[in-house]
Amino acid sequence: MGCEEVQEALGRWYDGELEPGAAAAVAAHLDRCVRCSETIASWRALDRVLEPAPQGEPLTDAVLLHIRRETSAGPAWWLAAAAAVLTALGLGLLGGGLAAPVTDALQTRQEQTSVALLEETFGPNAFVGLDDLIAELDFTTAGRP
Amino acid sequence: MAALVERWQVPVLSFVCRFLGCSDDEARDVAQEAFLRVWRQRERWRPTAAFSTWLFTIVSNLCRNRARDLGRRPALLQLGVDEKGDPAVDLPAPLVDDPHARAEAAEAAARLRVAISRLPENQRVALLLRRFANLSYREIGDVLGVTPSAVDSLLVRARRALADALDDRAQDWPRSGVEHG
Repeated sequence: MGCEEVQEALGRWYDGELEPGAAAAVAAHLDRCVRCSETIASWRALDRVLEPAPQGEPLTDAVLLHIRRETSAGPAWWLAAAAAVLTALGLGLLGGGLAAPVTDALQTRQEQTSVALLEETFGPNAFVGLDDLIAELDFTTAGRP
Repeated sequence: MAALVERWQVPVLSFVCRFLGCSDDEARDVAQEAFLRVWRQRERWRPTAAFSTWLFTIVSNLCRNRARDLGRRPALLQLGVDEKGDPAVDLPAPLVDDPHARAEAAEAAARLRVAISRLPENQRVALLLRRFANLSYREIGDVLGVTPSAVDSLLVRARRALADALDDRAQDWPRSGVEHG
């Protein structure tokens, strides 16, 4: 195998990508060729410099913590939709003044977007009566002089 | 998921550190985001492809995006710090106690960091995948969307460019690990 041919195959030889026969031919050439041997030496020196990162603190805990947060949170749009509906309907008119505390609760706990939060705010099964509530309010406001 | 993170943490961190030339904190942020994306997109992975290929496709895409942000501050990379002033990672080879050798090694490591940053992205990805993830040419080609033959060419050019940047002094560094070839 000549130098030009070996130079073409050197990368694949270095990375173990050559068939055994071709690999042996390259190895034999390297035993007697200074130029090609120097190329390999420079690549080995480069690999010595390119050390892997130290193990450091495991990332496992941080990754798992994020995953737990994401899996415990419900769909954010539920919360945003409920807040928008309640605010638009002016829930404070019902005399309960629920809109402000609801908004405050939602703002302070912005990260915790879950059905559980709504149930905590409005009581169990918060969504169950929501459609009925909206229908009732429409009827009530429509009936006013 | 925990086992997956433990298994791939060092290769991923090594890739990110070298690709971005960033601080340890930033590399860990990027690596953490990569693992989270793996989890979020887990249903997209098909067993027909090697997991490492899929993982490092995510990692390399994240790094490319982050590199574009860092590209706005090239001077910092030259100085060896990130935007917060934290030292960029050099990870020099193991050294003897000789302070002169240590200083030379530190200087060469800094030249290497700059040289890596100047590599075209595909060359950089190919080299780092080969070095740290031990992916085959075919697998690297899958990540980059190129043929194994193209990967061969990328690696040769990348190694030539970095070896030139290191000059001859790196060949005198103490040996560690398994020799290639």
